[in-house]
Amino acid sequence: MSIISEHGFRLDGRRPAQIRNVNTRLGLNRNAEGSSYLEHGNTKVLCAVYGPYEGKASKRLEDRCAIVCQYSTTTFSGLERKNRPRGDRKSTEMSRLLEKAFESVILTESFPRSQIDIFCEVIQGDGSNLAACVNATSLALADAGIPMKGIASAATCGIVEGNPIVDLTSREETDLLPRVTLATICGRDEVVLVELHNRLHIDHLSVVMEAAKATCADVYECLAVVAQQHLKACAPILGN
Amino acid sequence: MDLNVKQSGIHSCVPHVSYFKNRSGKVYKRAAERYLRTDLPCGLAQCAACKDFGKNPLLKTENPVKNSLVGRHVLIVDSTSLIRFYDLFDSELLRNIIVTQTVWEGVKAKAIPAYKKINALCYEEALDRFHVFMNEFHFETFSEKPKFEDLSRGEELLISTVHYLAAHWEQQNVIPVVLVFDDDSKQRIKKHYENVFYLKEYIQNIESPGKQALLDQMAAYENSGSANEKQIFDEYLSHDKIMEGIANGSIKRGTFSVSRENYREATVIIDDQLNSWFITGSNCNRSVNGDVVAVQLLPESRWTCPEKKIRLRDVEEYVKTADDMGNEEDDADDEPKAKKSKKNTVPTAKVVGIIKRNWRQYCGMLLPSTVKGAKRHLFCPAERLIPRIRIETEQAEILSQQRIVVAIDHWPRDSKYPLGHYVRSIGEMGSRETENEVLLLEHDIPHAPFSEAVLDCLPREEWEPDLSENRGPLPRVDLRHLTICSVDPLGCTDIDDALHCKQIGDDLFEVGVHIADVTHFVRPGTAIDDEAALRGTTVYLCDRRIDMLPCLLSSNLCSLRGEEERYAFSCIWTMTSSADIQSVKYHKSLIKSKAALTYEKAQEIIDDPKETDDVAQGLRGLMKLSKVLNARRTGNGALTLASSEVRFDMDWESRTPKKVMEKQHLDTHSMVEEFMLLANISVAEKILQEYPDCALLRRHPVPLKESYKPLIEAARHRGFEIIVESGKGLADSLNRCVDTKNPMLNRLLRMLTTRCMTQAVYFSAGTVPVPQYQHFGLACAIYTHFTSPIRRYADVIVHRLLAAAIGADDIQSGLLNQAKCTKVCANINYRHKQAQYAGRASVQLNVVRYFKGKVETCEGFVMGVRNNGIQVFVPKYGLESIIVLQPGSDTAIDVEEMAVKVNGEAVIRELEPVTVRVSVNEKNQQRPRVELQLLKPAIPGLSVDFDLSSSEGLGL
Repeated sequence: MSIISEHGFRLDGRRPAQIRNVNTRLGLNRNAEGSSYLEHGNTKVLCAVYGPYEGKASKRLEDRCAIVCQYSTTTFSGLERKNRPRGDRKSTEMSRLLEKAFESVILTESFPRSQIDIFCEVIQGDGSNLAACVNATSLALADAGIPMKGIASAATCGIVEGNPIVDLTSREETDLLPRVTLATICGRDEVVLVELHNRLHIDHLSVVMEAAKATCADVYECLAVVAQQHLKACAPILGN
Repeated sequence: MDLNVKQSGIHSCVPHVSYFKNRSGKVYKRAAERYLRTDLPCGLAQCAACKDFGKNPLLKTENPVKNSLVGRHVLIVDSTSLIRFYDLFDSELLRNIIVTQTVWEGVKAKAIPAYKKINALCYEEALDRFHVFMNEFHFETFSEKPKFEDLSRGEELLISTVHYLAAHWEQQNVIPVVLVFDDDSKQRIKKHYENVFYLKEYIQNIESPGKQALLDQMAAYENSGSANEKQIFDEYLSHDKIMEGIANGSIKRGTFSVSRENYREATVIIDDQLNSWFITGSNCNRSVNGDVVAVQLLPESRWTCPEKKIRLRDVEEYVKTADDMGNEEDDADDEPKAKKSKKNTVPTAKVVGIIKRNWRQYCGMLLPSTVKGAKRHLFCPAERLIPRIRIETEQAEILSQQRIVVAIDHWPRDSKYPLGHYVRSIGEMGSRETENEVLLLEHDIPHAPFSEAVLDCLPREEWEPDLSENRGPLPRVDLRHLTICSVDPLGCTDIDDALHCKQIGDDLFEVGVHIADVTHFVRPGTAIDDEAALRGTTVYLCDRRIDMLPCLLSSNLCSLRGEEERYAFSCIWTMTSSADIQSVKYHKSLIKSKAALTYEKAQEIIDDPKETDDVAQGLRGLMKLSKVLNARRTGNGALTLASSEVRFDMDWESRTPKKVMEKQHLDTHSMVEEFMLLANISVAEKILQEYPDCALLRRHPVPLKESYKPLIEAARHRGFEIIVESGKGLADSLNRCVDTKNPMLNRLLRMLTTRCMTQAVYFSAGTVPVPQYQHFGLACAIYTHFTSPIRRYADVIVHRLLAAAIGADDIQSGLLNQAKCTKVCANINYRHKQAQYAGRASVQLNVVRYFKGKVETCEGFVMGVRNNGIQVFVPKYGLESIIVLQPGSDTAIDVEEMAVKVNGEAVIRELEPVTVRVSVNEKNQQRPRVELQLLKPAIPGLSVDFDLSSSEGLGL
């Protein structure tokens, strides 16, 4: 089965450079400072942000706040039922990646000696899980009102015979397809996260990166609309 | 909220749930999305609404081919018609065709040849007669839930597409017309949409005289399926039953291969075991050579053994009168009565189903029909292993003098022969061009002229070497000062290797092999590289060469011609006079060959003590070292094998064979060969060390002990013992087999040895266990091909690997990918084999032409003894043919003892010399063939008298 058909369409009817529909809800979880629910097509992520609060002494940093992230997937999120929702190698790796990314997005110097917790739960995983988590977290942080350099947006892109395809689904994320997850701030050239899966030929790197950057900008536009709408709804006074 | 900045063209998104099974049978549910679009073109050029969409070729509304059934219309073809009649769509008479996405997927899943065809028509050639309508992504035509209960899913999608298109085109006054093949679906669709026709009905109503050819092509199906006929074959099991049987082990999957000696016998090589099962007679159950079949082992009581009898279709036909062939139906149950001798039975199986057909289009000719003006004819494929094919045509008169191409459509249970249809004509039978074309088509050799895109990749003719251009960190080395020369056969234009040898110290020599640097010009990913990868090898026919690379490269810029500066890839050793290698280095270089010699000339120079220049000294040094290398290799157990091949000296004016070339073996031959082997081995070691999981190597598997049986038997009857425990033992015992009375014996035994072995193959390192890397024939642990990149694609890959390993070039995409390498290997193995077969077929073709109007008495040797005849090999022409025993004489053939007996006394045995008369049998004007007649010893029923008038001595 080819990822891009001879007709130029992908398996789900998208063209190679089209992202899936994005759906979001903000502020679902009243216990958390900020929360978000985000769908990239069938990839569905719930995110909650707690803090900044004093936090554990062991994690405390003198000059900035610590970011602690937990990435987990529900047991029913993938094709096969998983026994372990979190703590496995993959989840831990994702958690660390998210922490690193958001350390450079959040203005951590504003909250020395404190801690921010991020919880990401993938309810349904249909590809581009890490990217969806970055996007959901950005929105949750915005909901929590935590100062950031800007809204970070992410996208996963792959390359098939030299042609980039963006926003991969799980059927497209095969074992051999090289794919890059890139996160940038406000769709600009500020990269906060890059991750590469599988072997990629050096000639293709620039092609994929260009496509990923453009996609991040596209996703950012979606997220910006969401954030603005939410702001209007929450603060009617600012509405005009 | 559905945000999407790139919403363009997307109408909505529907969830789509599918279920699938994994290998162990567990069922999974997968939820996916399907984006329905608004930007899909309907396919009409004039349609204003869809004008802006798509890059597909658009149909013109005006169909120049009128049809009396409907007015302005567009055809929508269903998948059954496409699969069965895909050849039809080449015709210009069928225009304005829409292939829906549903049909496309259906064809792709069911029939690869049909899929290739429509893909070529719709995309590769991008004809404006076709358009692909993406109905499953179109927001108006896709519906998740079934609307009509009486229709299958495919028909339903077809109906909703047609309804949409009909409404969409109302203003343009264009009617979509559905073409179907079978009755049921027409009835069902008719209920929902009126403009449904049979494909045949539509073609009959085309208002153009050309329709007759189309109807001819369709004809195969018309007369089959008359149910009351006698059923010859068993029904196939259902797909599910077969899968179940394979899972529980009662049914095996394997490749069907017909015996070359007896067309009624075949073996199936079982995929997951290394053995093969025997199949005979109607148990073959409509399988054609090469099909992947499902087979079931018969109970042991029904096991049989091969007849050891030669059965070839043309021989049998020759025995029968021509009239019998007209009504061939009657001998359908004429089963081979295998002897029920219980002791020698082998596992016998029957075919219970076909997993994958290996049908292709076959070249051949019509058999003459006795009935004047008959419509049904038998087609005789050029490939012996393919059965006769029944076709229908009105144009038999014209076609009987031509070579034609025929495709098999199906093989019903009640027919002795598969049914097929006429595809096209190649040309006049017997003409040189036609016969060569048949040969190339039959061996699947790409031989079209190079395309524009390929020629665009070539450098300019006045290309000059430039030492400053570098592709990797390791620079190209200037070796123009070295005395390098090349040694090749006379008339060789693609010189890809050159040598040099220089004494650099006491008992220290520098020896270099310089190979044309093809990869400098053939860059990966370019059109020229793709083409070379496809062709795989240069093919040599007697009167023609089909190049792998365009002429400018193969005979000019890459060819290491004398006195011209050329890029090369050099492999340079320092060795002592006892050929111990001290060091080896590889680099790209610029060389200037001092002389392009022939083997004969080089031998002359070496032997002439008056020649004392650098070239002569270099050659002598090389010769000395090569002798040491050769002795060492033979000591390791390298085999010297013989082949039956001969070459013709051609008259290039008329392209006819003049005489058989006497192959003379000179020391210079083995000198060049020795250094090429050394280079190949050194390079193999280097690339394997650098890339242990993707280096392209060549291996020659150690033959199984059982496969030596014919050789051991034959040698035993002559009183020699063959030791097959090791390569060394085999080589030594073959050397001992010398019979002073029969000097050819040794060569014959070596030929038999070759036949016991499998071919050497290319493979990617890491795909087989390391001990199996070895090359048995050459007796070395690893081997590859490095020395002929102009004519072999494997060498091109090896050059790239070596260049990457030493840093002379960058590593290109896909080079270090084992899966890709395996794919390349599969193709070049196939091409290599086909090229060999084509070369042999070309020699045979020329043997026939050479003997036209000539009769010659030659010495031959008995290569095989069968129940009803003997196989005779004529070394002078590399001919191998069969002399059939006529029934009703006192002559008996004893297969066990491999001897022909008259009154109980052995007259000829295997491997003994006989005298035969070679001539061309032109009784059949269409198909002249070389015939052997036994002269000496005289055996009743087998040999002929000298009286030519009673020349009924049978032969082939």
